[in-house]
Amino acid sequence: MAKMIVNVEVNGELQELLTEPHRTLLDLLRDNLSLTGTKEGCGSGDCGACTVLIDGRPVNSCLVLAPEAEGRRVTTVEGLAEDNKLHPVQTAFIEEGGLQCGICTPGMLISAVALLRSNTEPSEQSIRYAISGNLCRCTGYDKIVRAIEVASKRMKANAAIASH
Amino acid sequence: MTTTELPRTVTEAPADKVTHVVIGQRVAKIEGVDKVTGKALYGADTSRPGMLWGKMLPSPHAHAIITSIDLSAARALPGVFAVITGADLPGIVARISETDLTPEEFDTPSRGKQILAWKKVVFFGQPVVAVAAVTPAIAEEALALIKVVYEPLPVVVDPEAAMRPDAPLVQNAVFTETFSGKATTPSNIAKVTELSRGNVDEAIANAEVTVSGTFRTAMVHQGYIEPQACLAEYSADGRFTIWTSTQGQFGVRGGLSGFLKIPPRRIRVTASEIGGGFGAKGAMTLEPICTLLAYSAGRPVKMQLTRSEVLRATRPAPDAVMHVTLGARTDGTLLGARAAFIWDVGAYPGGGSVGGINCGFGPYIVPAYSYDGYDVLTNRPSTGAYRAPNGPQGAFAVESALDMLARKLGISPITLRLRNAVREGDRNPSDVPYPRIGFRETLEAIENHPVWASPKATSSRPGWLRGRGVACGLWGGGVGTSMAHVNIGEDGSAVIVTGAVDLAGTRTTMAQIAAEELQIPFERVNIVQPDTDTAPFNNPTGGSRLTYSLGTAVYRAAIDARTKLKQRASQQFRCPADEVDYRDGEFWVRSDPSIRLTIGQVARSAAGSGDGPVVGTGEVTHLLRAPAFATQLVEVEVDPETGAVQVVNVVAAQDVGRAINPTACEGQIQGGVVQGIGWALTEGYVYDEQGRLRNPGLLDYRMPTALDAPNIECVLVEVPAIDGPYGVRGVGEVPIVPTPAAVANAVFDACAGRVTSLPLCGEPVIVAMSDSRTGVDRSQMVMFNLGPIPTGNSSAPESPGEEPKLATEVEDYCAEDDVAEPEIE
Amino acid sequence: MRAFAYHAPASLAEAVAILRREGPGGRVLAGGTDLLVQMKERGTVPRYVVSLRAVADLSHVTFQTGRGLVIGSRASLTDVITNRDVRERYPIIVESAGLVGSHQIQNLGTVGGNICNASPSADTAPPLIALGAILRLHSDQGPRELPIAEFFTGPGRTALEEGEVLAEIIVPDPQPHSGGSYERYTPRQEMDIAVASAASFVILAPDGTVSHAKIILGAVGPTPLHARAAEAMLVGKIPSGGLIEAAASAAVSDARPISDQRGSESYRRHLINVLTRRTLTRAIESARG
Ligand SMILES: Cc1cc2nc3c(=O)[nH]c(=O)nc-3n(C[C@H](O)[C@H](O)[C@H](O)COP(=O)(O)OP(=O)(O)OC[C@H]3O[C@@H](n4cnc5c(N)ncnc54)[C@H](O)[C@@H]3O)c2cc1C
Ligand code: FES
Ligand code: FES
Repeated sequence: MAKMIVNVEVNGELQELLTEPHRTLLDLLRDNLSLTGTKEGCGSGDCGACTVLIDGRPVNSCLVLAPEAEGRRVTTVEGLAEDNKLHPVQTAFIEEGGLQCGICTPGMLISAVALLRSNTEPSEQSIRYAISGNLCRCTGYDKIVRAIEVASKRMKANAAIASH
Repeated sequence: MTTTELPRTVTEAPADKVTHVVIGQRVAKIEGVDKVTGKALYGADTSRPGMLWGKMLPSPHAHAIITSIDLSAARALPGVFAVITGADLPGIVARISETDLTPEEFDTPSRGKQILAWKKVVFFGQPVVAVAAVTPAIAEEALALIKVVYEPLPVVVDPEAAMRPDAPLVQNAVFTETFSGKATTPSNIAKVTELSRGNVDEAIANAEVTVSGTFRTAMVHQGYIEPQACLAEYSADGRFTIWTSTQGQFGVRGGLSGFLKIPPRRIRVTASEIGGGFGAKGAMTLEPICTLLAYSAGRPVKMQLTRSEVLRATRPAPDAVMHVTLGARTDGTLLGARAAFIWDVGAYPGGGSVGGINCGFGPYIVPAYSYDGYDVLTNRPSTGAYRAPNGPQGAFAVESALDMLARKLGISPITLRLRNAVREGDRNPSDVPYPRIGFRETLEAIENHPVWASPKATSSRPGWLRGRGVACGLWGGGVGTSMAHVNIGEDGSAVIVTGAVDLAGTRTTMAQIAAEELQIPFERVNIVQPDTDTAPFNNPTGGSRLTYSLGTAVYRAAIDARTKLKQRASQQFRCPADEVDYRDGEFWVRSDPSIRLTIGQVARSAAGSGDGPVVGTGEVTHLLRAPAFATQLVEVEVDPETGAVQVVNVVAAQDVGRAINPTACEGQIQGGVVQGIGWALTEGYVYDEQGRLRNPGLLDYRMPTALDAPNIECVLVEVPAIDGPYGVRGVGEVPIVPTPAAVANAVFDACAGRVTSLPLCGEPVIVAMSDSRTGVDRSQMVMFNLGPIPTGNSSAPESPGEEPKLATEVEDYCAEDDVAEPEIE
Repeated sequence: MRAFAYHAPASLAEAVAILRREGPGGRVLAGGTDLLVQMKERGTVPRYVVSLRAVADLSHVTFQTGRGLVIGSRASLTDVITNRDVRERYPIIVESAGLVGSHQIQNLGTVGGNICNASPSADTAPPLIALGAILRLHSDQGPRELPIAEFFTGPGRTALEEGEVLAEIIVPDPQPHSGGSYERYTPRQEMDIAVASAASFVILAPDGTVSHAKIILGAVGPTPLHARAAEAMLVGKIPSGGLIEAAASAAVSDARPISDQRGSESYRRHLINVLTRRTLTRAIESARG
């Protein structure tokens, strides 16, 4: 089996990764880079546990062949906190009880961050819609929705302070 | 805290009399940061140098004889290190244990022993061969090279069909077990349970009103998002090291010890962070085969189930067919009840009927009853525990029938339930009396809730119909052995060490208990759950037992630590221990309160003087069960043209005993309710006639998404339990119990269609509506006539009255046959 | 996933040359949301994969009056859904593409892949057939154009020939006094596959009669189906509640559903009646403006 090099930027770092083509971006992240924060719940696009951002858009990394990531910018849950400071969505999930077992959390956070980048004041319905590709079996979603609401309010407040 | 408050001293008791500082607070999850940053390590997240990947070949048949298996090509494939079939098991185990084993010992109708099919396959997707190879792709390639010849046998996937005398036999050596002995001819009816009291025929004949119905639920899956994963390593010193996603590392150690016939000291199990279990990870799945592969290959082996394997070949919850008849007076007082519950337990015996009966009928006083339960084998995966095992099915039948009764009598469904609700001292169907319970309080909480008190809103969508339904549920509560250490650091902080697995937030609750009893800030408490060599023993987590029994152990360990600290302080004060007072991190001499030491100072000095550093220990084996009750109000909207149903609002009242962390309690309730909504509306295994699962993926096995889940308001009712710290009860199981019935009752309220089978979204609603228009009654009681079951044993070994026990034993939750007794040297 | 060879050509010409050179056993890869699932779960084992990732000029979504809407076969569903022209001029495409999977799926998947995968339940197929879309196909022999109505030949089977690649989907200019609507029934609100679906598209003549009607049914046959009897009933008539009901009943007899894990035959017929009536009603309303 011919191996190939895939060049991909992961959480701001350029990586040159050796892989066979039949592996997925999820495998690259977990096995080549030991970024095991991104989870595999189904391997078939149904659960969203493997959600990462590619060029800013959330995708199921279990359905992306490794070489398809060539030249792309990937953000995983490990890349959300900056300088050891949690992203407001991460803080809100902890404070509002938006996670229980936590297996869906990395993918959920990525979807939430993607939503809040495009919509700073999402309604409850648009939050639910934005995370409808992320299954959670523990929380019943209620507290996840609240956490994203809280995060959006805080981010707006922070932005208002920053702009003054 | 201000000094005007009453001083809290170590001798003060009972705990729930004092002002709680940390108990009842919405503190944030202790492991939250690890989980939101991706640092937490789950089952599949650990790797070892030189690690191989294990995979299993699934059976394409639901029932077939294995005629031959050709492994030559797979074995020859470069990169393949081990290939194992069912026939190899005794040999490998004999080598590991250096004992002689008869192959027959593994050829049993016990799923626990038969980790790979042997001689015949009994359900679709059953693992037949396991391989370990250097990459997952090579392992898959090897599986593709294996040639298995099968001789298909007739298949039975319907439990009622499986009960017929002429049905194909799923297992050749399963004999019906009854209270009076074991049958002499093999049968698909693995077990018959009969519970009765009084003269039910007379009671129903004398009833002023009766209702009956036949209710069906589908086989459903726990649906944890993390597939089972395991990593096993064998070392030349004869020891096995296992990392696995499990609800109990000690259960795995005990189970492997029994399976491999080696003492527990040769096995070290680390429970990873667990990505959901809901009962399913209380039993072993991958651990035995992964261990054997690692031993055979001489390299560490990692296995992770695929989602289709999870759905096809782990242990879903049984489907059930339930016939129920209720007889009552016109004021709603129940006089008698008759029921036959048929459980499709899958291809291997186990499971159990009693739980469903006790959950279904347990909330009500029924003077005369006869409840029969049948555990029936079919060519489906063997079933297992799922959150309040068998409760939701039983409650669906009983709570639907009660709704029918309330409508027939024209009384409020809450009034009807209040009229018959059990109180302390009443007995459950297994004849066990209830201790203090808070059932009526949950009914009253719903009755007094503004949503119930206000008129029904109209639907938000044109053409859709809105309805409201109520149902109740019960979970008997779990108990079991728990143990905890509380290590006091030299700065006066505390680390709790337990061997229990945190499924969804118990670490935080435990830290709250320790902080409360040590009277130190929550932030100064940490908790770890190390491997079986390091941690104190614990039974697996499940059955809503953890906060209750581990909580007791932590509570006792914290008090033990506090007592020891006080004694160390007295050594430092050079005064008798009973002259030392303690509050909020400070010790002082009672006669001269100006002589003070902080807990940090005491701990630091103790580290090198006097009786030394402090470790508190606490342990508990048996507590009185603390049953938990719930009442739920569900509002739905129904599209009468397509049968689509959406749950739009839920109010869930639950007796939690004491809410140590309200956020955690609400999270458990909301999660359980949404699982119940999935069970009610869209989840269900679909088999074809050949017994092949048609929906082994999460697109067609439809668990609710965020858009399918409503807002869920939780009403936490606090009726303290008699045992357990602060009166706490387990909160995890019961919230799923009422939901499916409450949804069905709400659908009836909306569209006048009585849906008697789950999942109900879509066609069943259309059929029910048309039945009610045309007056078709599909709910007649079809009583089963099995005839006498010939038993070989005339002396009854067990009689139901002798040792009454709630069938909600923890054992139910962690499938007995897998958690074998560890062999102690 | 089993091993395969991977090619990522930079042009369409190169792509079709690889397909010709390597011969049978290859698969074209667009977003991979169908293909990867098949390779992981359903035993699809391609010998080689030709990715369209690096092919220039396939990711466009453009509209030009007179030329219609052109959707490149590598444009993601999100690219289509968020395109201004598509939102303004072809709401039925937005409606149907917006139903596919989740955000994550829409960011990966393509309309082209949805069409080429030829699932009877593919959500974008009924509206595109109703709108009379044309497919531009390429092989090493050059391009050809095929009406999408002739493209589907069975479940997972299409008129694509060995070595052929879908390059573009062309949707004719929107017609005045036209309206379309798509609806599917799924048990879940999102993330689900249609149990049955219907797309209706009508054009009204100045006198208010129906001059053109297309009703396409999804998931009730081996391919998306034309409800021809229903269409014929409408043309030349002034639409009324009664007429719509009659057309909806006629659509039921055009359907050829089977029973499977997603629904029974009789329930699917029931749904076709409801969905046809609803989409026709909405299509006519929007055509009347
Ligand atoms: C979780 C999930 C949910 C989904 N929900 C829906 C849904 O609601 N509705 C729905 O309709 N679909 C759904 N799908 C299916 C899928 O997402 C869509 O069909 C998608 O549009 C496919 O596009 P793709 O680019 O990913 O196709 P690919 O997987 O790349 O390709 C699909 C097929 O088409 C072929 N192909 C692709 N492009 C070309 C080309 N240019 N020329 C020739 N052949 C080509 C491939 O060889 C392959 O056989 C879902 C899938 C998943 C995983
Ligand atoms: S693992 Fe990718 S969507 Fe489930
Ligand atoms: S927190 Fe467990 S799946 Fe979401």
